[in-house]
Amino acid sequence: MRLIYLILFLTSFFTYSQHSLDYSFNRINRELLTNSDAVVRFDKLEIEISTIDKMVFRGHQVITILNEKGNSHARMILGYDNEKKIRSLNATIYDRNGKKIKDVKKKEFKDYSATDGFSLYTDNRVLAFTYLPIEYPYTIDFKYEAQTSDTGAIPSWYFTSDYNISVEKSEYTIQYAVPDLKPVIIESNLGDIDFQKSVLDDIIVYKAQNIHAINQEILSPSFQNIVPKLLVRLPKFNYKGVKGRINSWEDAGIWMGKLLKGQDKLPANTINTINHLVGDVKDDLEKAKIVHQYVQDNTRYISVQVGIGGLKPISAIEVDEVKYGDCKGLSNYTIALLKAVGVEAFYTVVEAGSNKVDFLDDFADLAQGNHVIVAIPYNDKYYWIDCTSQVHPFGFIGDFTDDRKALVVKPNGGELVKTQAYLDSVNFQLTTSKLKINSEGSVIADVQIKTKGIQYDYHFNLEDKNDDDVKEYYKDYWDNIGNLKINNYQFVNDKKNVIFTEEVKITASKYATFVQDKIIFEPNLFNNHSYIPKRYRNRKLPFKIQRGYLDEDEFKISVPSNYEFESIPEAFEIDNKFGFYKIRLEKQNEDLVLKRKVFIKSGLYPNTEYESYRNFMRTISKRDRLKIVLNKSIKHNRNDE
Amino acid sequence: MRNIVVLLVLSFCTSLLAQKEAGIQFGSYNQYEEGLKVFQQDTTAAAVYLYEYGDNYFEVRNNRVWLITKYHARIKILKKEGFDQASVAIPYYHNDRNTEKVLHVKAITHNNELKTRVEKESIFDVKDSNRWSSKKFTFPKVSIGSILEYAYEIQSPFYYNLNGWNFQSNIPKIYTEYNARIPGNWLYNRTLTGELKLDINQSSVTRNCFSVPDQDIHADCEDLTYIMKNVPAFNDSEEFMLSSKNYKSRLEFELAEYNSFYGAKEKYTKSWNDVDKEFRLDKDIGRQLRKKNFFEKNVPDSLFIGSDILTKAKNIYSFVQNHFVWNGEYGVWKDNKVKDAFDNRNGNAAEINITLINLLNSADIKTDMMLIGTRQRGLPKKNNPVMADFNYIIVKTKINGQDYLLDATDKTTPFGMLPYRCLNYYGRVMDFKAKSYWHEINAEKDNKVIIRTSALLDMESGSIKGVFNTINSGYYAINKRKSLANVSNQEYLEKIENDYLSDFFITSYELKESLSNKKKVIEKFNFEIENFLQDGDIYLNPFFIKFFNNNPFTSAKRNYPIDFGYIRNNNYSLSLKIPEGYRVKSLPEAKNLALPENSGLLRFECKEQGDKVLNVYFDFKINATQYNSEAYEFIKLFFEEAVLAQTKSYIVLEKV
Repeated sequence: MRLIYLILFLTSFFTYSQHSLDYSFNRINRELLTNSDAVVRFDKLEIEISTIDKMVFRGHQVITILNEKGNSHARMILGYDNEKKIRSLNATIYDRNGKKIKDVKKKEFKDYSATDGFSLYTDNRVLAFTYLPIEYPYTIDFKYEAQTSDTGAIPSWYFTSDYNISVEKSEYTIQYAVPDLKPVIIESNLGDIDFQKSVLDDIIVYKAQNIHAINQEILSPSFQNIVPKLLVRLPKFNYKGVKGRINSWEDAGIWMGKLLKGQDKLPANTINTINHLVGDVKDDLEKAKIVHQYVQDNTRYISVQVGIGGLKPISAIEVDEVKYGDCKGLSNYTIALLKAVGVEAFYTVVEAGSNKVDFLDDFADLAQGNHVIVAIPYNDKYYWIDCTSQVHPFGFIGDFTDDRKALVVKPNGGELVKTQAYLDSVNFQLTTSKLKINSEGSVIADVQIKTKGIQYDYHFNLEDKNDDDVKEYYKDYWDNIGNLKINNYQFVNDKKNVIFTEEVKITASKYATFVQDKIIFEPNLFNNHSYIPKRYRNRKLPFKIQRGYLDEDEFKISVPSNYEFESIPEAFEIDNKFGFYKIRLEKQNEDLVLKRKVFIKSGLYPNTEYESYRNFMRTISKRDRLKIVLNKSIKHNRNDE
Repeated sequence: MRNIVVLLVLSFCTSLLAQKEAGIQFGSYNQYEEGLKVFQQDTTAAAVYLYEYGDNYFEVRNNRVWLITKYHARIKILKKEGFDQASVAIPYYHNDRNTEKVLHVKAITHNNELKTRVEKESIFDVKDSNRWSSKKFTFPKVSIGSILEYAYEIQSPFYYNLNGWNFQSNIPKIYTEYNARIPGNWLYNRTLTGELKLDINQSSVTRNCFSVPDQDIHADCEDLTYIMKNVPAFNDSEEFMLSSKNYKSRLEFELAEYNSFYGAKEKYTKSWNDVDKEFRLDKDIGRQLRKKNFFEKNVPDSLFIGSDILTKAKNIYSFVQNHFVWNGEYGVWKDNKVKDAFDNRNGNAAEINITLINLLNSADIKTDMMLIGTRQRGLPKKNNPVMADFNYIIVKTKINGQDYLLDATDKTTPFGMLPYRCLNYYGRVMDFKAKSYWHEINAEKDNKVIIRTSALLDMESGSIKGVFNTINSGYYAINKRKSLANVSNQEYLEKIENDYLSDFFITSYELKESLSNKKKVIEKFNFEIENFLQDGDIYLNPFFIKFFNNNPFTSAKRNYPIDFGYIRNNNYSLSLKIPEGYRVKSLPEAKNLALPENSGLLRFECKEQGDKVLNVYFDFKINATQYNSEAYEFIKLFFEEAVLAQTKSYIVLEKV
């Protein structure tokens, strides 16, 4: 009797808990709603590695979407390729009370090419379903199972996937058949979250709960660098049919080297051509410049991603034939050409993007990189080139791959090396102008802008723009000047010294305003700092100025002769930990000269300093907009009263 | 309607088609083309079509009649920016049962004497969507001076995919030729759009040119050749325009009728009479419009009760608006499932608006479907019905003698207004009881932003304190509602604060919901501007809030009309108290500008009013929806003056 009772009790308890894996909105802990657009109720990934080329994923995600912005997180999507097969996937959608609205079966998912937006072709595909919500909040329960032979591509685990998402429970399990298949796991940013970990002989489990949502804030370090996550890799793995064993970056370099082997052969006539071009030049660096120019003149960037082609470059012979390639193909081709003229160069894998992301010292995994460049050793220093650009000067990589740790693949193994950095005053801009304000208030000006470092990177592509786009650019660049007319422009791109010079002739009618016997105008026409970073009542995240810069300006302004200055504002200077700002207006003979200097230092600062940084920017902006008033000289002014 | 594909199955595989030798031989080019370095008519061109050739005809292959499209082009690369032309996608169509096939793709890069082919393995097949795929490739060895040449054929079972020819594209064309050889069994409506003239426009008839073997009938063919030379590029990047399709030079075909060789006649589109009949009988649209019973059962009875018709109509309209979530698609002819859409509470624009038509008719308010092209799709041609011109369904009804056009897709659209995308001048009302007819789309006329400001200078704290009372009406109200729905109050206010340069703070905000409605949003802001004090005289720009800072028109010239969609009015007034101990030293000059025929008005005035109060008045009106390209210069100047007034005006106050 008693036993039966107990069983009954258990059964009912069980059905109850089933019923209320309760997706209703009410069950969410109120604290998790703060700053949230979506709440992850449950997120679980089980990975099962049975052999070096068999890995099964089982994912289960329950997420409650709170508002329209949260919709971007309602992702029912799973990628696949020739190695990764989707065994099953389905989803169920619930309303705010946890009542089922809809089942989504596998056949309702749509099949798309996983276009990355720049590839001509890629064999990666996705199955995806988009649900159109009628009301908020709603909940999605998404389950899938997939199998792959690519044990070399274990995804990282994010305990929270984005800003403005909170998490009730997150669980990561990785199971391995033999100790040999035990993964290496690196914990990143787990400091502030509540988690448990268990490591047994054949399984590792991580569980975390109650992770609060964070707001995205301007200038914050990249999400990658603050998100609690696990980086996971197998030291012994299979990738697209190629087996490997990687315990260090040295090993990673050796493995990569194997993929590159034999890909650097070139046809005899190309070897002749390049040797002919190099001629008598003896110096390796000079030779490298000639080869780089040859590659820039003769190739273009086209991306095609098929199979191991995601990691292995197409051969130099192929690139030589079609004269195009992706970053891997073009880098490998360049290295082959350099080899043909006796210059050593190394294939280098890097994570590209204007946000700097380092390869981790103690975690050798090629999945950290998304781009390939070339490193040329010369006099104990590396020169870097990005062969996907037909326009960047030799040795100048710009903000796409600067200042970050990358894997240099050398014959005897890989090595992490930091790429060229462009910091602070290296990023220099000098703007000078002679300008005239005539008696109609119009401006006629010759402006010269010289840029170096990262600022060069932001300007030099003007050279390749068509006339309309150049004019459009200046109207935007000087949007503080109405009625701007670009009469003429000329560019000099000094690639050798990496200096870009713009000479622009402009006119702007009615720039100055007439108020009876006065002329009013802003004397800082050509480098007017109007950007003020957003105000936060309570800034949470630290902020980062990635590169810094130095701007210098000198404008010589002549005004109509029958006017004189009412008063000239006093010089102003401010100097602090973020940099400095100086502005001075002075009379030189009949003219007015504006001298301005702004220096912004790169650095990482705590949240508490944000307000003073913002005040610094506000001060600059305000001073940059100061107005000058001219009075009609008395001698010309008798009839006025 | 157009989903019937007739494939002829024949017992023998012979074709008596008179094959015309197609265009210029592949792989050859002349010395002029080789030497060309700059396209003289447009020296900015980064690439140019030297030659482009298309041919459409019908052919029997494997016992079926196919529509064949042949294409051949040679493009010269003149500048590096022209390298984009080197990547080619050839789209092709398929449905559940049939597919088009892209055959014989040939592509060669010519660098002087050197020819480099695109290899078969480098031509990729990419599935773009359920209905469309494409063959993609890129040319090898591309450099400045390269001639890129390619040719292909599309074999299609879909006769309605004979669509015509684009004479104009984003790069210029030196020579572009289109041919069609159409047996009398197929009738296509054709239209030439754009302002450019054809250099050659030939048509002739070839007797007995087409037959199917075991039938003793020979059809005559119409042979058409259209050629344009030195066609300029068409660029359409500017704001305020209708679809570039209205202005681009293009020849358009639409299948009207097909008479099979076995006597069956398949009418597609011919006259509006035919269209009306088809719609009435059509299973898809027609049936969807007769679901009165279903809706009567599934909506609250209260919707149909009440004596005031307009109120009833409005209630039904808001019911549909609130019931549905629009999935972002238009959907017109096919696959509309209004019942499913109703049950799922989401659907495309056609399903939502058909539901509205059904419900209004259930309430005995006579309502019809109206077919329109969206602004992006282009203006429908009026000479004959080209069904492809229509891509959207709206609702036309008449209440108490007044016409109303409705669209229930967006929740923010007030009754009687249409979303901006629908403001395309006219459409066709499908009155099934009588005849279909053209009907104008007149956009809402009351679109205003009114800002009443009063402010005072607090000399003690050195700050300006004031109030904005704002009214947004018409399309401005819709946009306001949308931006209020998308962001939190705090973000909304921060955005306004950041628009002003610095030291601007909104100290309190109120959305006056009780005074507002769908067509009108009334708000009140208290603001404070800190640190305005200067030494000596006070210089003050009276616009504490601006309608726009920059001129939206920047190009020197424009070759097509400016279209605003709806008329508009921005109105700002300020009443400023002059502080004790100060007086007005000078005021900005008044402005009074008008566009011809009162189609635009700009007024700006500052006045001292009696007891130490300054009044500022700014009024900016655009009274026409469309201005032709000759008016561009004036419109540009007109906006320039409005920008100047807002950004470069100063009130100067001096100490007494």
